[in-house]
Amino acid sequence: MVSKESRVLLLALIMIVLSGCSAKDGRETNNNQAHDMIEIKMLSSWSTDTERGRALHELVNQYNQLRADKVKVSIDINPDWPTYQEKVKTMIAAKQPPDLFNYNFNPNDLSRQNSGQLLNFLPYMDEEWRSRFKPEDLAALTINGELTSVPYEKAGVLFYYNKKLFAKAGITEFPQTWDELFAACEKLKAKGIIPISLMTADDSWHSTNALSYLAAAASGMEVFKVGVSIDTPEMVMAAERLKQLFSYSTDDAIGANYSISSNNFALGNTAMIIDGPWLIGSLDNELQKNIGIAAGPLVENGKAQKGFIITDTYTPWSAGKQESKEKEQAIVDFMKYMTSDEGVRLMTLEGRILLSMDINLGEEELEKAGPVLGQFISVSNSAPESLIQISRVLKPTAISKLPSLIEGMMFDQFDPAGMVRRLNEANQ
Amino acid sequence: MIAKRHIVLYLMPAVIFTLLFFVFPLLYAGYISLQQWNGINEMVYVGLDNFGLVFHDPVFKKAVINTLLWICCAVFLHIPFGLLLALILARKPRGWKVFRVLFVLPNVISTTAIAFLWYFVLHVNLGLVNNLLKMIGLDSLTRPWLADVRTALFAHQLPFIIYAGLTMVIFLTRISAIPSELYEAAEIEGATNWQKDWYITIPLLKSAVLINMILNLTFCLRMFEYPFLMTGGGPANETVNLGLYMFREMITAGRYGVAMAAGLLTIGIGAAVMGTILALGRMTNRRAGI
Amino acid sequence: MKWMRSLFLYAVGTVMLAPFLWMILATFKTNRELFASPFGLPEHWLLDNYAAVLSRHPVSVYFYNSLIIAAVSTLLALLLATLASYIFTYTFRWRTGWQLLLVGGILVPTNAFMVPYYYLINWIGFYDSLIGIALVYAGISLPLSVLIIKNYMDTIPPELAEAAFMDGAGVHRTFTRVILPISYPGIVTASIFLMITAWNELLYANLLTQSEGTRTLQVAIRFFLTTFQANYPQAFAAMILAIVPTVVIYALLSEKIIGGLTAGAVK
Repeated sequence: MVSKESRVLLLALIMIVLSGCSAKDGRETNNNQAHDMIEIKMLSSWSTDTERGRALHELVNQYNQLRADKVKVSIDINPDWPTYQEKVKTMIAAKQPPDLFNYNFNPNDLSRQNSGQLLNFLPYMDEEWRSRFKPEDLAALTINGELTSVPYEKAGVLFYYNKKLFAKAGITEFPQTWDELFAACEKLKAKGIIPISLMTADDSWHSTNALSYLAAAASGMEVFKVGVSIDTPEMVMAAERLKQLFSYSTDDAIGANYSISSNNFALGNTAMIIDGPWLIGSLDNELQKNIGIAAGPLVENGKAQKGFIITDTYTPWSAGKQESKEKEQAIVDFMKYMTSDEGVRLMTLEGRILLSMDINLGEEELEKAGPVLGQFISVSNSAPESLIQISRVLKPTAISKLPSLIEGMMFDQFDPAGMVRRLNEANQ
Repeated sequence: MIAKRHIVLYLMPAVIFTLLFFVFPLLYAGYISLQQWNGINEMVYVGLDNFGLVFHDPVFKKAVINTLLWICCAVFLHIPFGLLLALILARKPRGWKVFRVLFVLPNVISTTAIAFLWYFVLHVNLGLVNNLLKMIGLDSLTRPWLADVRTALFAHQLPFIIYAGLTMVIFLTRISAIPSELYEAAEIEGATNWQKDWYITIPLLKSAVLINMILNLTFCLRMFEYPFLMTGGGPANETVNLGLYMFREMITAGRYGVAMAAGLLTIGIGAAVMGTILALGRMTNRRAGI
Repeated sequence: MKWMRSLFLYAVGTVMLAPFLWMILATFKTNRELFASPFGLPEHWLLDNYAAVLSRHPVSVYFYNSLIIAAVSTLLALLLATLASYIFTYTFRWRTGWQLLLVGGILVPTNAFMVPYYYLINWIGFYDSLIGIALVYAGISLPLSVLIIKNYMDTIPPELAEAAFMDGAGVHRTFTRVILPISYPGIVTASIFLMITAWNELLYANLLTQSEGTRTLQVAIRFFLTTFQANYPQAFAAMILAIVPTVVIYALLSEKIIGGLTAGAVK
């Protein structure tokens, strides 16, 4: 009944399985041999496809060489940010918090801080280390008297515009108000240029950036404050204008994900996009020469000041509580290295990440960083006030509903007022 | 007839697995569905609130309808298409072996890759479909297939409908087991090919239909990859199904209780649908005397 | 009539496979080329995308992980299902009840068990390990495997087992010498279904792993397009590299696979 070939097949299958098991055993014994070496497993979403990923690898390599034979930091990459975030939460829930991870801080979702499983950095905050950070950043991340997160990245989310395309439509300066911006869109459209990249899939990032700018321009920086209703006439107005903005976007804006939308800008198909500094790495050198960076436009009778910006939330680093004191100290030591002047310089210049730590760059270094990053830093630094992006501050339920609410509004399933009302309900 | 220790020895491993992977999860899901819980912090008992929330959520309603539509899609499009392919290949036209291999190929490649690929096939500017339409002058028909509320549902089911290779093979298998004498008699009476198919082959395929139903319905009830990767449930929740609804409630919204309440309802729906199919299958089998 | 049939087959084949050809073509282009002329031939046939992928993604590790998981879960489920199915050929008290318990799982869409499985796997300490995923797959596929194998064993004439019993063979001997060899086709059929399901699964592979060392092909394919970078030709090249081994294996074994389905399915 059983043919020869199938026996061979079965045998091969068993061999594979056995080799799989033994491979795993082999790895474990390796770990045991080096048991006096402290291993820190760091989770990150920055794959080596990206500038920041390569910079992080370099930083970790430098640190490992510095502490050779004592500490070894290894990076585990999970490039999909939302999945990575959820993974961290589930790991904490299973009482196995990762050694090191970064996350989007949200004052409306303190589940990680309240889990009691994160390392408190406060006892290690000596004067020297403390001086590396802005006091307000430390204050914002101190929850229940514990500092479980080390401030790291807090990037502006700014308007990128393609000067070449703007010039084609006869626009010489970036619009100062939303009315001017819509007029500029009209001009661009008349020249056959698609004015702006938007998207609605996943977290709807580029569209919610626009929504945040619109809302903040009218209501000021307190618009998304915890406990405040967002069902306001200004918010409805912002939603209406977002809807209008979609008519100036690509055919694939609805249903597009982050890569589609940013690709549209990177290929010169659209004239504007609202995004963080990580986009710079996706723009080729030719395009970078023609990029302008701008802060948010204003509205009539709005409460925002000229030059205000939206930022991504804090993306700090946290660590799981450790049983071994030595490992805890090693983690702190590594965090100090990451936030040192040397580490910050590396991550900013090579990785193009804007960090919460102060950094004084020389002319030369700015030059080396490329034409866009310099502008990005200067617009961010000269902003009189800033506000954190809407999808980083609402309650998780509201955040998860926001993209489909925007789509519902676009398909006229409800009007902008209905969209804002539904969003506010989900945020209760 | 058989000693108890033998029964225990042979049966227990499977029973333990069933307890671990079906009975325990069911009880656990039942327990979680009564709690308000974000997966990390303390659970708060809320009784049947989560079920109330799910019942009143229009998105959940949409998810149930879409899951049922997936099942309809399997029953009325995917399986008949597989049957059609099987009937044609059963006549052994030239190159039928090559076609048989090619048609099954996509089923073994990777659902994830296929989902990504078809995202681009249906893309508004880049996509094959729209560019073909433009080429033959039907510009008016071009649209963002996956982002248009009217077409998204069907469009994201398209790869599932088309890649019916595995279903086809199961039919083909059964057809090849039909004794040729049955056809010889019909040929003497001058029956056409389609008549032979209709009156002889198809009635004998009941058991294959049943197997295909079971396999495809479980696949549809578990369906996650296509909506997740092709539309993300959009536009405006048009393509949300139960798998994605649970995933979103658990992962993005962090409402584990709600996710599990939806999970229990999904199990109820799944059991009802599959139970009906199995009962129907049993009835027809009995009547046919198999 | 005949030409219509052929035409239809070619049309179906084209619709099924043309997207793959388009994807292969795209891997030789630059990102800009792809968006400028999605259907044109590449200006230069570049292998850069493949080189970039191979230098950055351990595709062989992903492939190996998927293979191990598919093989282990299939073997495990088959073992459990064959043992249980065999004992069901005997009559004993509550046999139907036990059968219902084991097969009943087929009614359950196991997506609903995301939370419980997550905690179960964590609890037994197999989070982020190949074994953990393999266990879950084996558990999920158990009802279907029992159904297929039991159905096949039901078609074995009871006289065979009785004859073996007369010859003095015990329960174990009858199983290994008589029933198991005859049931081989049914087991092969079940194993093909199990392998394909395990190979394609995304939800649990995504949920139960974290590190690169345990990432399966399906999860990796999803990650080829990252949040911080969008290079489609490269992502496509990664996908092609990821599916080529599968296609090769299938091409070598296609007769076996389809033949295997033929032998044991649908009795």
